[in-house]
Amino acid sequence: MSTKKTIWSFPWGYGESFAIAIGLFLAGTGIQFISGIVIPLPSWPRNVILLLSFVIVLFFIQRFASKNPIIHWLSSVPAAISAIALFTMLSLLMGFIHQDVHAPADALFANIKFSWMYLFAQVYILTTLGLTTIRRFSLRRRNIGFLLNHLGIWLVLAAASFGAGDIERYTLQVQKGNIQWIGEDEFGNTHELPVAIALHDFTIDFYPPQAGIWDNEQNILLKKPSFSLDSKDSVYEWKEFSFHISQVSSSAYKMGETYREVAAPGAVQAAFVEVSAENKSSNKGWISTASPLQEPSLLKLSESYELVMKPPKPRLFKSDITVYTEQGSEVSTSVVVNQPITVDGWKIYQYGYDETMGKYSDISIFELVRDPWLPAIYSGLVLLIGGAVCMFINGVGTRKKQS
Amino acid sequence: MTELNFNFIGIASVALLLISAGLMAMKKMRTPAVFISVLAVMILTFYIAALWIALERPPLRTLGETRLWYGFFLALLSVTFWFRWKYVWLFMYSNLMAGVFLIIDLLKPAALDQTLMPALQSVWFVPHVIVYILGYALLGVAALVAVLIIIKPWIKKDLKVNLHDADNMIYLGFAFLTLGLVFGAMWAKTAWGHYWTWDPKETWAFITWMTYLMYIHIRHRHPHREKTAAWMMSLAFVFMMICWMGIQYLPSAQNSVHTY
Repeated sequence: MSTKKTIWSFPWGYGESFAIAIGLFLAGTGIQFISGIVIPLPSWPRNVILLLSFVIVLFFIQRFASKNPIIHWLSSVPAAISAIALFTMLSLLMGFIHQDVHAPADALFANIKFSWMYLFAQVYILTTLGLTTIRRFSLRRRNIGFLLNHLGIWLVLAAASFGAGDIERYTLQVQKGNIQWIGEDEFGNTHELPVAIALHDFTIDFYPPQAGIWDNEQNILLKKPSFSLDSKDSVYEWKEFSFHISQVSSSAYKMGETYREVAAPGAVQAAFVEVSAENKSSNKGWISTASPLQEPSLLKLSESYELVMKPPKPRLFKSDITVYTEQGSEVSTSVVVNQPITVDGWKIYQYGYDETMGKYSDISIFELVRDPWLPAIYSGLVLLIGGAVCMFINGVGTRKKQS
Repeated sequence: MTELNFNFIGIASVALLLISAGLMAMKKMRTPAVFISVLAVMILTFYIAALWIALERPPLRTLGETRLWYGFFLALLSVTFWFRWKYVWLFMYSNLMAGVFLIIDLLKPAALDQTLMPALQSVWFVPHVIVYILGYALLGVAALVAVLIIIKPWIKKDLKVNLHDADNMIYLGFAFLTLGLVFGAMWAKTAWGHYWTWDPKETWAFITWMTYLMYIHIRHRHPHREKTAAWMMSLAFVFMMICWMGIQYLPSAQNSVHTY
């Protein structure tokens, strides 16, 4: 017999680790292919029971079976690298293949995060990471960085995967002056929600309109130049052309050959521009954005170029609302993008509006999200920040030299 | 608003960076080389500050703006690492790379655009992007070490380079990537309602992070298997570039919220 280690003889190394990772991937893919089902996410209380059992098993086997060569291998670097590689491999598939939660069941890699291979990869990485963290648990100063990083990522991964079934998210569409508590989930089913929203007002602010040059030969809007039309009587230069902006309206209707200030649905941004060009006759006229009720106006500069107004860019979406809860409390506040409010464990987001009505929309759409696992996720993220700080401080200086 | 012209500043910075890298090759000219590099860093600092003021928003929104920061951080790192390690090749490379990224910006001029859509108006915007670009700069410099180790047998067998130098940069760079991911997750929660949505940019950032994680584990367990580690780091660097600039060409990423 040769003294060279053959595969599957202990201790296991990279060959065995990658064979197992590939095996898990193939097994997951096979089950996914045959069953063709989307994995149902466990929700409270089953997910908590599952998670607790998982943690107890990890502690139990690390405590009583750490001498077992398989358990020992599970907390080794080769196992860790193969688990990271498997997870990365699935992420690469997600990075290259467009993901869709509504994908048909036979599209094997189109909904990976709800697939069997993803489940196997999760369990594999949580097992190796969990066992390593338990085995090397120590509060000595030198070990703090290790602990923060490993426990932090374990907590985030575990809370995100076991908690996914408890996340509730609904959209709620409210008309100005009305109150609404019937929400819609992502599959379009309606639900009666424990909070109700009354919409008092909805506003959109836009940035000052911008003008650009349309290239007729390439059929594109040129990246440069871009003129900000925030004040009248401004002058801009481009190539041989000079543009003088003499009137600007943020809410206009075309009437005959001219634009008039009208604050009504379907109004557009418009500006009156006088163009003069060296050695050419001058030209003047209105340019405007488009709305469902009005065509855009543009100004011809030459055979190849036209002066156009770019689509308006929103600066602020804001809803003034009152939120009522089942307990009888009420909160009056404003919701804007990036500043959700929290009521009774629900985060309420500004989500959308009636886009055909633009700034005159009398409908605001909110998203309501409840994720009871958020404190666990944030705890994990805070540990990871601590781990990153440890990496800044320690660098590679304290690493043990091994061969 | 007056148009803030990048051409003059850009050409001046590129010229200074290239001259500095060239002078570094001459033994007697190293001190002036470092001074010129410092001058380039100062010019870029003033330009970024002026741009920030002119735009009335952080200049971190477009790819061109992130390349400007990348050039700035690389130039800054070249000086920092010179004082730390005195490696001629590292100094030259960082300055040359900074120059290359500024040249790309010169060749692809973009209009100044003050607008910042509501989802980007957040306290997380500046820290999220800055830590990422700083991390990218560190990992970009480290990638050179990996490439040198891979090609060492064919060029100069006595080249003084070892992966241990790259490790410090990787550790710092990886810590910055971690912060970028965490800040991004916290921002995503307030902007879109969930901390992780597998948006294509998130997916590729995660792939990059995981690949550097493999590198760190290989280095930890097998400090002498430099070649394997160097290949892993090169792979991670490729993923990082896809994440930063390649995303917009991927068909799977056409609806990403990170396109700009």
